[in-house]
Amino acid sequence: MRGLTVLRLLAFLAAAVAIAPLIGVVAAAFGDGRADIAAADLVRYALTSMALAFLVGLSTAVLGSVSAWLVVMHSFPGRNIFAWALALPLAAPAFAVAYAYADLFDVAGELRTWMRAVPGLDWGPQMRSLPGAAFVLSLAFYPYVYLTVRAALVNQSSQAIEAARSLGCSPTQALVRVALPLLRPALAAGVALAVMETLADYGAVQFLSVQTLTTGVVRSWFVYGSLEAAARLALPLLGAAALLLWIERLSRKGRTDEAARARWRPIQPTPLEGGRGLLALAFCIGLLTLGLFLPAGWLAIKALDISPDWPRLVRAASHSLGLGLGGAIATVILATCLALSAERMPFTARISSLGYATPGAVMAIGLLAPASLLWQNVPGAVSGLGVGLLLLIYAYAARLMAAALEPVEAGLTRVTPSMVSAARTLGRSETGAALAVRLPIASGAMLTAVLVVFIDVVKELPATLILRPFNVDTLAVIADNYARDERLPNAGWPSLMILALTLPAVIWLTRKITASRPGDLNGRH
Amino acid sequence: MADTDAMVLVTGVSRVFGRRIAIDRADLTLMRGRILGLLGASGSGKSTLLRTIAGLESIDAGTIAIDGRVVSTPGLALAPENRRVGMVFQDFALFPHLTVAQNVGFGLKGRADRDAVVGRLLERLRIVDQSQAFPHTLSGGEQQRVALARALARDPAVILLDEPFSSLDGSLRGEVREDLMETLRETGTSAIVVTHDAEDAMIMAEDLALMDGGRVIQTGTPRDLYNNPTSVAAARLLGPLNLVEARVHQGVATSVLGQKSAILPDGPVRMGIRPTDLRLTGPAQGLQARVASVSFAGGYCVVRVKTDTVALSLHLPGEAPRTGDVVGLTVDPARLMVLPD
Ligand SMILES: Nc1ncnc2c1ncn2[C@@H]1O[C@H](COP(=O)(O)OP(=O)(O)OP(=O)(O)O)[C@@H](O)[C@H]1O
Ligand SMILES: [Mg+2]
Repeated sequence: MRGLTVLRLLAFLAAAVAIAPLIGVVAAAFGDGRADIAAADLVRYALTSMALAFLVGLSTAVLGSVSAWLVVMHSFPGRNIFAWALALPLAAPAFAVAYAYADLFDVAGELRTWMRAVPGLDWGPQMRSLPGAAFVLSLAFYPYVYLTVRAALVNQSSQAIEAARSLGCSPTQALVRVALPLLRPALAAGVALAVMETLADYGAVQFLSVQTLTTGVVRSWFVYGSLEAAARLALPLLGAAALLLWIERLSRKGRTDEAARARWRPIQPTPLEGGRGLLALAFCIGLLTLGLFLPAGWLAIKALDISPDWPRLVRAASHSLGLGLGGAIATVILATCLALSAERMPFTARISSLGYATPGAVMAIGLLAPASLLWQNVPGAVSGLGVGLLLLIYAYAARLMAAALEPVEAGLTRVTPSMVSAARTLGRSETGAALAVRLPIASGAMLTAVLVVFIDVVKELPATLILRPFNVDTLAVIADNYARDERLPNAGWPSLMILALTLPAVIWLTRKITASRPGDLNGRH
Repeated sequence: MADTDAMVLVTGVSRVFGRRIAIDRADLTLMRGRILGLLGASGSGKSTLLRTIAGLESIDAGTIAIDGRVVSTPGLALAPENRRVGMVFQDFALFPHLTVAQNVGFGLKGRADRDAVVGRLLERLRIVDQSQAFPHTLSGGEQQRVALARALARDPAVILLDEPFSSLDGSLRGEVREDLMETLRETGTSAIVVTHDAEDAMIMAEDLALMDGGRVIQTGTPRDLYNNPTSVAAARLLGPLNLVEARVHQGVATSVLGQKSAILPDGPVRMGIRPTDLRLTGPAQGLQARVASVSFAGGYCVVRVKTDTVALSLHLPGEAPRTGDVVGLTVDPARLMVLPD
């Protein structure tokens, strides 16, 4: 029915939560405070960010689509494991991968020292450079492309390709003329996600000494204490976020529709015999090794050399876990408020997605201005710690609401409009129907959303750095602290503990995602 | 008819979606304890009308009253949960996360007699054995019975059924239809049954309303409507129809099929005859025609014939002529319908 209902009000509130920090950024940027950033710096940061985004976009596009194409369209040893395992690097925070590779290829490190002894082998990439950062981020973010392209390949079913074959196309021609154009939207969406993450990254690029807009934002705040400068550096990031979001949304329009799903038939994979099968196997193992096993293994080897500061680690782990769960639950509750009305208020729902494309550092800057107001005007009424934690959770929720919205919305599509109508004629109000029918049916999807957000929160660094209350360290924060002091073995411990927290969640999620089939919408979770 | 006997009274109701008029000044009366059929082509607004009665859709003009109480006017609508209306949906809309018993008891939340009512309904509708099953494991007919039991559980003043048989096939359909009618009669429930199938509508309904383009074009008993439709659209809805050009002159309509008195102004009209109402006579008698095709349709044959000016279709039981035969047709003037153009 028309008019403002409880559900609509909740959706508006959730959208306001997501959008408020962005308004805060814009307000701060145009505020008349001291903001002495040289235009040259701004341009340099922006160009570096663009170059990095371009390199990572390009290589994740290649790595992600080749791996998806191999795994979906071919059969070779280990294919079924790689189907989900190729997404595992999502569990590793990008900064941990950066630590490992920087150390591995350090000129004074064991590897290079050993290589120098072998004539002609004395060569190694300079990780602390733009290409080095692009290499690290590509390995960390290719799974976004892999997952979207894989889903599109699986969804598109065999019919389009078979039709092309029956019209006289060779397998290669069918790929080029039919499959690739059909995949373009998914590829664009996946690359847009990878580029969003690249622009948002702070820990890895800062460690690799690459100055981007995001590192500029954080530095302006910490080094120069200038909210205005930080906000002005954040503006172009906000613009890029809106653009990427637009690309990602636009590309959705081309996705498989429900009618096509109904006639879905699995693709018959082409067997890769002998050498070609081994080549495919080697590619997948190589990608997984570079993205996960090698960096994690190297950090583990280094970390085992020292005995860590256990009390500090345990405290940080409990903070990470608590903030992860708290942030995830708060985010999913807000996303659910939004999702329950999303169909009837699409604009409100979509605008909240802007937060997802917005780097955490920018989100945090947007919250600082209202936060300082709060601190000044409510003296003593609320403890600094409580407000700090709330702000932090707020930042996570604002940033990750869209990530949670997606699965929750998908889960709610399993509730047909007539089920809601039935609940209404059976005596439930709109809210009552939501509680008794819509939410229980979408509960599996809500659990998925909690895990998605949990993984991201545990890996989050810049917003946590800016907003965390004094003395509240997360694993990511102490890893960053150690890494700044070049204490790599010490940074290895918290990094690996993050992995220990996220890996089970990532495995569960990717196995679930890759096991589902199109047309499975009504399957019980 | 006295309004106090009306369970549902729809007066001049319109519903507009954007620029599309889904219901156009519709009038409808459901008498207490009776079954009203709502028959119309796809897109004629049947579901929308049903949803406005249930309160799931607001209205832009007119009023709806249930059991003497106005529940919908353009500015005001009683929420669906507060109308005593039960609804059975086309896709049944069973809750997939609840068992059969929980589905049936859904509307009885907080009532002490919940288990007793559920048990009674499960028994009456012969789904006791499936009470702990989840809906997706049931057959179509069982799902339909669960949906009906769920709607009946709250003892609604009126029950609305939107195409209750459309997802059932063949033999099951007839069986479920009998079941449904029996249950509705036993419980004395007033019901509106939406369908686009003329046979379903005529068998089930005691009263019938025909919808076309958002309007209720005619109401009456099935027999009355079948024999005396007042428009081409109404005549077509109730079954196959032959239509020929005719002309009214001084109260008499004339066409190749014959003559019939008509209270219509002079001018062109249409004359209709059902394929079952045309008969064959000897070759030299009646209206001369040539058989264009014969198709066997089980209990009868569909015979298409052509005269010099018109093409007609006949449903003939038993022996049929052969293609190319010249036949003579007779028409019972009483079966002719004169329909305004
Ligand atoms: N929510 C809506 N928004 C816009 N148009 C609608 C909506 N609901 C119905 N309509 C339109 O109103 C008209 C009547 O639809 P309705 O579903 O009532 O028809 P129906 O007689 O039930 O048809 P069917 O036999 O196909 O179920 C259709 O043209 C439909 O497109
Ligand atoms: Mg309908």
